[in-house]
Amino acid sequence: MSVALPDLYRDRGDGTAVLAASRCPVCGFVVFPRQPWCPRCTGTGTEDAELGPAGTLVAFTGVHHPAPGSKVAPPYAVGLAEFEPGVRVAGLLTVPSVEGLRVGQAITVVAAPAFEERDRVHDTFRFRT
Amino acid sequence: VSGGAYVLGVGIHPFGRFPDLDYRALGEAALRDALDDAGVGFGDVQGVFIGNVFEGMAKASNVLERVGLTGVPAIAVENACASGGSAFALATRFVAAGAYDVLVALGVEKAPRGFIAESGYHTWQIETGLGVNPVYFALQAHRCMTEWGITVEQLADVSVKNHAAGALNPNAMYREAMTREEVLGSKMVCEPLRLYMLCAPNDGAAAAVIVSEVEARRRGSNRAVRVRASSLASRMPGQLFIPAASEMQWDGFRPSTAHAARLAYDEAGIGPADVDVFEVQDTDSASELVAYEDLGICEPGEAGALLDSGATALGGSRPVNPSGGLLSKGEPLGASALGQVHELVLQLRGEAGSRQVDGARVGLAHVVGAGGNCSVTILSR
Repeated sequence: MSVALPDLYRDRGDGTAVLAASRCPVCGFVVFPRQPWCPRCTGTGTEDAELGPAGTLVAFTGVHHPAPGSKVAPPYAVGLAEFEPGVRVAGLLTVPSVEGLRVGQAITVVAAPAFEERDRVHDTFRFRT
Repeated sequence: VSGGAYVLGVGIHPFGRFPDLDYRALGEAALRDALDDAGVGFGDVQGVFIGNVFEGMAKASNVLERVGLTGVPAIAVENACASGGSAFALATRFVAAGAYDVLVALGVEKAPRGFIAESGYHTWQIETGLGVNPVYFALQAHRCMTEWGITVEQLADVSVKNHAAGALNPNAMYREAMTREEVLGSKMVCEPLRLYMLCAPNDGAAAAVIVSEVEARRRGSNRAVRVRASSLASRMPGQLFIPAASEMQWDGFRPSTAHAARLAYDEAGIGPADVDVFEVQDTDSASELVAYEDLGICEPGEAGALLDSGATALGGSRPVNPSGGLLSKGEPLGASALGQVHELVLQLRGEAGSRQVDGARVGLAHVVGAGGNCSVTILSR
């Protein structure tokens, strides 16, 4: 059984990945994940956009409590990364702890295992610090 | 609320954990308490709006089974943490519009313990550990630290402040003061937020009897409190919160709290400086500090200094959460906003006992949650 991870990213095949976002051709609004309608100007017909692989860490948290429904067990770390001015995405970090991390440091989007289920590894995007 | 709406009475069932009471029983208790306070019989009530998140179909009329099946409209509103505020806003607007003279807004909840499992996140977020609210509260808290210079001690102090007030509130779940050391020694949940910096979803109910100006005059009550504003907002695109995965800054963007606050202040024709007492959504310690800014209680970046000054504590010049807030009351989602209204009405009537804010004439209540759903209510004596 496959897990419902939508097309959130594109693996570039060089060890990095980019996030699959959308940009509104009318108002310029960027939205992630990809969607065909613009939530700001309410228009339809957004264009594909890619975020990354390079980004900047804006905030982070180490999660120590199991999240209901999550197949990723604690401890794990979540970061908020900025890719263009004011364009930020929350995602898993590659490291399990926020120890030693600092705001403003560079991150790289990568395709990496999210969790293993029934002997199958499911990938997602992560921010490599 | 141009036509005029008044809170004639309020009621509450204590917030806590009551495994032997179902939501019907909790709702009945708060409703009867409010009717008694208002001096109104249920036969005079023309409709009921009920804020609730977790119960099933027909929950509004199910509560009325225990009070009276008078055939009046019984409408349940689910709007996340703003469910009760939404029920209050709808009842208030119907009364102000002249559609009814006597309505009840009731909030009732039996919330599961711990992390809320279903807040509207997408499956991929839930499965990868990104689908729980405290993760986003923690990211917000971290940004308060890096952008405003908030310290973990200040995050603890919000909880200390609210527990000091909650210790005086017989309707709170936690009625003991707490030290900074105890907060900082509690279990880490999502860094930097520890267990005692996060509110606990729990059980509870609260209600308000809302009447028209004509009805308030007819009953000659001098205890009626005027509803000056009751605003609602939801998130704009780019608000990093539940269940959004991305945050986008753009011209004209306003967090839903700031949005609802602006609407409410405009409606009431007042500003934040005119408010004597605030009840705000302290889902976590940092959320209270963010609310200071979004509600205009302080200038951007000044929340930590305001907290340190003692102004927002009971006895301070800008008291916030004299009830103890959600940090000490717990958060029965659909009931929390009506719990705030209950507190403000007591404060404005001068009946808040040891929690009384001296001379309080204007109060503001604020809830915000999943979807950015937010309500801001302004009441005055």
